[in-house]
Amino acid sequence: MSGIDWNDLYRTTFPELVRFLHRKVWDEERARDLAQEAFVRALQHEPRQPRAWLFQVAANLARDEARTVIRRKKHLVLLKTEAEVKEESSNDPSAKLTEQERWAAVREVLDSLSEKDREALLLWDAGQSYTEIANQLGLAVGAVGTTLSRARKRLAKAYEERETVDVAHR
Amino acid sequence: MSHIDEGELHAYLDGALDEYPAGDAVRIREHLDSCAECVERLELERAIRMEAHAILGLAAPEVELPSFEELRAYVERTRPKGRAISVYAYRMRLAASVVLALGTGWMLRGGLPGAQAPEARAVTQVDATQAVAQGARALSEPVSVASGGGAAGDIGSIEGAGVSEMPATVPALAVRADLPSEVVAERQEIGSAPATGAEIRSLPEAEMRSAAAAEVFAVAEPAPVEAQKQRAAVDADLTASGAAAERGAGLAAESTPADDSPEEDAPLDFARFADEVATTASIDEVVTTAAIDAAPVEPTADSAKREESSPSRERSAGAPVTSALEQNSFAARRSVSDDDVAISDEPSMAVPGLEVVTVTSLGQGTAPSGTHVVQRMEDGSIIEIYHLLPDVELDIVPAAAAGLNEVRALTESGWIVLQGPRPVEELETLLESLFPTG
Repeated sequence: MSGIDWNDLYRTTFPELVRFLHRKVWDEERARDLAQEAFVRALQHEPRQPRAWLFQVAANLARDEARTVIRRKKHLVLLKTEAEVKEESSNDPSAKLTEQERWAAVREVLDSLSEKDREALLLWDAGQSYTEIANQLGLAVGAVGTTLSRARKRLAKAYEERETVDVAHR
Repeated sequence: MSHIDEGELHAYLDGALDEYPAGDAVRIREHLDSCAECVERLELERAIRMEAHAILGLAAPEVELPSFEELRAYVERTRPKGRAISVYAYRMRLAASVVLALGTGWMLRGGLPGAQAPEARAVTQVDATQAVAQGARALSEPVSVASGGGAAGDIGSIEGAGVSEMPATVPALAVRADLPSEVVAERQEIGSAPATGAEIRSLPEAEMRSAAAAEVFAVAEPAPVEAQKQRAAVDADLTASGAAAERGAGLAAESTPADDSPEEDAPLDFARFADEVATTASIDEVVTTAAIDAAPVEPTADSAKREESSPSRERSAGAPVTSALEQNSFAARRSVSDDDVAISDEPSMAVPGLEVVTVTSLGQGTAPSGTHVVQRMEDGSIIEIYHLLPDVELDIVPAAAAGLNEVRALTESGWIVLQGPRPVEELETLLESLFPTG
């Protein structure tokens, strides 16, 4: 058994992992499940660099999840009747809608970034160090700052543009 | 005085300068102490950084921390009692069995390890027409098995060579090894490669235990990747004869005396064997296996002709390769009746449709830790794929060189790392092509 304090690691990393995953799968509950799954695997494997390992596993889980969601959506499109669609839309609570709208806005601007910029941004926001981000993305440590700088600018610009369009539509 | 770039400003704001090379961190801090313009830019970047952080915060769910004790208990409850054997372990086991069986057979036939001439141990080429002719499939390309004597991280490798390089008329098995200098009978530099080895011919036949057609090679090769530079190589070229020759059963037939093990009782895919040996066996095991058990066969005119044209043996990195290993990639997902071997979940070893340049086993000493595959893209650029065994950490994979990108995936059977001079998105597509669809 390694000298890792798993309890402490769990306490400090789990929330970050959920946030990281949430911005990938855009489903709160699923993000929590995947974060737990990543921790279960980490406890089974006991990697030497558990934080980096957890985020890499989480990224892979999210990618797999995205594929599954795409498949599931295809099925839903095929199966959903018009009546079901109407019922579903009428059941949306307004409070939830606000949150969903907010998430949708962030998701949209994140999706407008390149894969590398988005990953760097999400990893940084999840508390990963430059070295960890560099390892994950195959970059030199010195290139992480440049990537983050570019990603932040693009995110802010895309969000502002989206807000402008929204205001114009109202 | 050059100003600080935006990336460095963000690294400063992120408190990441300590992760930069020491000189850079000092330079950036000192510059900010004395440059008002950069300080102004720093404040602008700070605002952008805060804005980006706030935007991301809009999509930050409240996280309720589930009980760690429950999670730990779940892991303990579900932890498998016995460790499931991986496909690698399965191969290791099989290769060990083959080597042990062949070694035992040889010992029983009166051979002693010390009794064999070093030249014969080092390299033997065997003609085994009869054995190969019995129900073997056609082998359209030679296969090289290389064992790493030099690099700590390499214990073996398998390389493909061009089909056109080898006449398909003489079934032969050649095992090459780095040789002690006293063994060298005749040196010939191979191609323009650095003279790290030599091709040696004309060994005294008396010193060859069971191969009438003998060739000795110490291989010099331009190593296309860093991991191969220090590798000493043992190559086994397997060629087939006509339509009767078949890739697969050859080695079993060649390496097993015909009178005590009928070929049909123990068909063994050579490529699979080579893969296993490359993963698990030491150089001596490879050499001993091939050198000892091959049936003596008189040299043929074809083999002599082949020897004359041996410069063509030089492995060309550009040679068209469809190596046995490529065909033997995990994509084949062989049906194995071993219940605890889940081969069907294994990713392919190589990207389908791309030329396989080398396949190298990674490991410390005799402990395998994975496989390194080098492939060539259509435009000639090289991609490298590392398949690590479960529990093997990524730090054994060398950092991607400048200009290369890297993508990784963690699978049930361990990490897969792909490096190459392509955009990350393209590398991801290549990586995904290793996995079964559907």
